[in-house]
Amino acid sequence: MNNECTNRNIGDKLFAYEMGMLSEEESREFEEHLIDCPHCCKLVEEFMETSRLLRTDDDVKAAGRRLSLPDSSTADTSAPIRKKRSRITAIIPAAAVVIAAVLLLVLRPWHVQISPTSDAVAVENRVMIAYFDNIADPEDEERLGEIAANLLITDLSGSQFVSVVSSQRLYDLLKLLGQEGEKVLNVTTASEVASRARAHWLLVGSILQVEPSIIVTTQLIDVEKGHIEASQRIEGEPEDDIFAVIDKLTVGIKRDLTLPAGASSETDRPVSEVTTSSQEAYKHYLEGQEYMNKFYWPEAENSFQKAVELDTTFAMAYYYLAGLMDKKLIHRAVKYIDRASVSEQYLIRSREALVSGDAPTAIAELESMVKHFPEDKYAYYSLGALEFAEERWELAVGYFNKAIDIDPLLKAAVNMIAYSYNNLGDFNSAIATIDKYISMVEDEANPYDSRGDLFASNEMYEQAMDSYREALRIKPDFRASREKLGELLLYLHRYVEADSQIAFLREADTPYDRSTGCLLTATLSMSQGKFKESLTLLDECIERDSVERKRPWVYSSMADVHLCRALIFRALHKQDEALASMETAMRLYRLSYPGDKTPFAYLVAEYRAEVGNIDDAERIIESDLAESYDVSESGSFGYAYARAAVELAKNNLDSALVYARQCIKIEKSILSMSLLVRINVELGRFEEAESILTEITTKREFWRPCYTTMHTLAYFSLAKVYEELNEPVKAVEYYRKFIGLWEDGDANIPDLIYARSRLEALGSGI
Amino acid sequence: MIDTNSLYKSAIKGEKKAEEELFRRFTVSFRVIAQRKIWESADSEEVVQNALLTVAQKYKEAQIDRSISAWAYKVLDNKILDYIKSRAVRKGRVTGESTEYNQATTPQSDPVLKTRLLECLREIGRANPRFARIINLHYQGFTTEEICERLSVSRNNFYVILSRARSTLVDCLNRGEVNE
Repeated sequence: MNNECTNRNIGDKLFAYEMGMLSEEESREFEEHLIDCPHCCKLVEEFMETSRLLRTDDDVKAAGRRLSLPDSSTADTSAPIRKKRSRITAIIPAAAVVIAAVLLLVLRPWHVQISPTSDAVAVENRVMIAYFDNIADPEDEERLGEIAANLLITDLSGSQFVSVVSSQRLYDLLKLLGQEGEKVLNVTTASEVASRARAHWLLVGSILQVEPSIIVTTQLIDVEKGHIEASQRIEGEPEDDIFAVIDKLTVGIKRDLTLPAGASSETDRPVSEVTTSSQEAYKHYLEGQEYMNKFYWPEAENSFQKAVELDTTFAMAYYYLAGLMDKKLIHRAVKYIDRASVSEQYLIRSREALVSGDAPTAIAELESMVKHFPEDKYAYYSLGALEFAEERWELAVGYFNKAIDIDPLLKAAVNMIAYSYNNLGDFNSAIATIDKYISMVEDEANPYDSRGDLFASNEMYEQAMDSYREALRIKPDFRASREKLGELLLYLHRYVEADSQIAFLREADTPYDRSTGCLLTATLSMSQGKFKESLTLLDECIERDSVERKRPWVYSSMADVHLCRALIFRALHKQDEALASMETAMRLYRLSYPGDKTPFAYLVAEYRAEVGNIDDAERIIESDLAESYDVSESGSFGYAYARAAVELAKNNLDSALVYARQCIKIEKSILSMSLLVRINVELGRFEEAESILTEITTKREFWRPCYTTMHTLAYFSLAKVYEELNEPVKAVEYYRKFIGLWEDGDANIPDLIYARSRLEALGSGI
Repeated sequence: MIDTNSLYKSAIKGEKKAEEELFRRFTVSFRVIAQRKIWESADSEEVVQNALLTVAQKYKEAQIDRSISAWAYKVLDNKILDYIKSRAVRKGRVTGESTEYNQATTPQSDPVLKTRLLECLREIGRANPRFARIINLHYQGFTTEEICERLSVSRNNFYVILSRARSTLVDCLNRGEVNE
């Protein structure tokens, strides 16, 4: 009786209905259909429990989000590659403060439960290398045991026939077994670890002697059988260093592994040629990696710098320094690229492309890496980081999940997934993910910093500040948390507390922190309407930054300083000075990011138009902004914003309104909302202006401290709008609020003078 | 199969069998719809019975503009809304007008079914990348319209992809494997 659907057009929507993919109206239509169609009704009934799981179960949803790893057949290729993020439209992790974050490749553990699955079968010729026991020096102050293990990993990784479990993975698994930090493993633990890593082989080694020559022994254990399959004893010549000994060991181990015939014809380069020939440099390099794993950038920078001081040809140390210190150092890494392993060479070329603004090549390099090293989690992680930087969150999540599939303990990927979820609007998943991360590495600052970011971006400021404080409790010099805590307090008008946080930055050891501290100190004055003091402080910042001209961040930092100056001059109604500062900001920014034309250009267009230079404003729109329109969100925003501002200046108000609305649709920020307010006021649409201004007064963009004046001036504008709406009581209220916010401000601020006079006039009338 | 409107016409003429079949149909479909929105089965059944009672009392006199199904559905929908509102009051919550009725309590799911579903989703994801992409985007919060746009598929095509995936999923859940 009910073998057929009574209306296929509606019946085809069955699964969409069950998944909750239909609109409200479509759902109603479908449910009406269910009454008419016993066939569909039966199907829904039979599938009820499954569809409920699909709609509501968190695990199922998470599994769904992990489906569809982007590849050439399924990736969203419709959007062209954007050159660079130019506006902060979504929160980015502390990791992204330096360019290094985009390709953060050295990662460390976080705890998750690894459950054995049907896939948990040992992979043929996958070797896990345990730390070497330095019997000759049990204290191992020179970290020779660790160095030997890492060099062996690198050397063996050069073979396409051997899959080597990384030392990070070893560390992670030890942590899972509650033996974190163990440098010497007994065979039982080592076997357990190897088994969890799906390694067929476990290699344990000892350093028996260092002087007069190095002697190492190793045992190759079949993990499943628990048998020692082969042993090696390598006695170096007196002139052999650890690198030469590892080379000899590699040859022996490859022989023991019974590799395919092709392995014998592989080129086996000496490990010193693909790393460094300096044991001391390598030690600092490993230290640097450890700091990177914890997101402790200044310490990492320091270690990598020591590494290149000791070996000026150390390609991978330059690679990391290019992210941490000066992007131009990537050219040094490229120069010495032959001194890196094959997989590392992909990373170097990818970053080189990225630094040149060639994202497609950067991605192509990483895709090649994936092809040649399909088990390399860093390749997927890096691809995810690139997609994240391009604000393609869902693609980023796909790649990060793929990296986690390879290594469930890849904490940096988890961190980035949390940010991606948040940027996709899924706050609950974001917090759940970050909480899991926190529970696994409670002694690290970064997860708390990330948690703070998630709260802050969802306007949960007290929770955010608690998280930042927790990060600072763990690591008082964790700059990212200090900066954001200071900015948040500043935006909440808690100036004394803000200053105490900013003081840490002013007095920090690193120039970048001091530069940030200087700018924030100036914005602290700016927030209170102390413009004269703020301008003096900004001049000091410029002077301070000028000394650091070689630093990669210096020009963008100086650009921010000039942006603040421009906003102060604007608040003082000094439009010419405001324009000059904005033009300087744009010029400086482009010294840091030559290919990125959008940031500042749309503000320059606006300021030019405001002083009556309409032609110049049009020119910059055509030359710098038009080409980015419809290419990217930031490009479209910049163009629409500039167009709206210029149309407003030309008094083409309807056209201005269209562009401003387009702008808001792309990004609802204080900037775009303020512009829309001005247009609405010109059009006499005071109710609309009031509604937007009210929203601005509750909106916090704490990561843009310079915009604090716009936030405060919204109270002033709101008061004026209430006057237009003939609501004097509310006008008085907002004039008072405005004056209160700048009560310690300079006496010569025109809007403050006006507000006081109006308050007096209205006050007597009420 | 006699369509619902014909059953309705016969029922109001006093044909007992038609009336029985009409109400059997209402009962089954009402239960399905209500269960989807109200997980607590006792509550759900109560709502269904209330709705059926109202339909039984009023269907002969009611002004049926479009179809009996649309009218009966409206009755049920109102009963469900009333239930949601009353529950919100009891729990001190404020609800909006959304028909995505947010259930207060989550019943325990069948762990075997859940495990199998997770496995099947993975399998189907591998075998059917377009479905995988749809699911991926859906769970990331994209609307159907946005998903269609991203995948450059028409609405109809979108539903067809889903229909096929559903058949594969049912098959996988029943047999434990995916026919590629």
